[in-house]
Amino acid sequence: MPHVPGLRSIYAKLGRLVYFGRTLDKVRLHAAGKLPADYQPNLGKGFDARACVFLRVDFAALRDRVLAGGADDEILAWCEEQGGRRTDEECEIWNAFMCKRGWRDAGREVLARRIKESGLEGKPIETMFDYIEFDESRDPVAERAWEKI
Amino acid sequence: MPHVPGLRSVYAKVGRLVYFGRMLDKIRLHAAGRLPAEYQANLGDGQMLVLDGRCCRFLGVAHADLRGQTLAGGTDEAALAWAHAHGTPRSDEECHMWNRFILKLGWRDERSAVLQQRIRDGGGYPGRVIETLVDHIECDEGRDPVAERAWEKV
Repeated sequence: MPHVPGLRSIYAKLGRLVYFGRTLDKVRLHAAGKLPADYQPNLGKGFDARACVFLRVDFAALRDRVLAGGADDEILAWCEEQGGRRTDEECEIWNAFMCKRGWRDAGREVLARRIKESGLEGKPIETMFDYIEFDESRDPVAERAWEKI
Repeated sequence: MPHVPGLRSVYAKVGRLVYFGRMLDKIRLHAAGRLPAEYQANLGDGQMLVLDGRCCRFLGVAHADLRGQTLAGGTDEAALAWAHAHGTPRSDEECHMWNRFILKLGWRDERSAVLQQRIRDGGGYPGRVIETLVDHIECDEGRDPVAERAWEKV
């Protein structure tokens, strides 16, 4: 899948969290009919679901709040009002868990399958984040994107 | 540091958590005067980045309180139940993420430089694969988590 306009890098942080801004992008793109079909089955699942569980909000309620309008920061503040504010260390743990998913864990088999399906064999992909970034024509490994979080 | 009698692997779980049992071992060994000097600097939650501190903050209990509870006697499971009862409630998902976080520390994060220094300080460990802080601890104590793929058994 090439770059999707309006869908930010998985490493882009919103507040203290990686990935979550991307969930908001996906919700908005889907509502506008611009989310590619490949992304639609996992909308609200996978990492989106992990983000919602971490923030202790329901995905359907989050979707409604996003589509009601407001900036990313306002949406995140709403999540924290609903689910309670996480500590900095909890955010650190969650970010690291997400960024490293696929390396030395149960996500490895899925990662291997997706690499093959996307024809990305030969790329230095160790994590699901690596895979998603490469799949969208970015190179997080060359940039050592994890050092900029 | 060779194997320390009475000090279990980081990977050994008590309840849903890795490392916690090792923290109890350190408390008991220290009280018995059998915790090697090299381990005493990192005992407790006085430092932000040490694993005892991370484990206690995750559980929401003070190390001093856990120490008192542990030395009063009882099983590992009882100590963990006490921590869960007196600290921060944790979901299975949170425990899962914390376990993976601990086991992967040192790989692609701000602790990577510390890990490389520890490897150099330990003589390089020729022939061994060390990619995380836990790899280093295990290797240093004579175990080989990489050959065993210990993370698959968590």
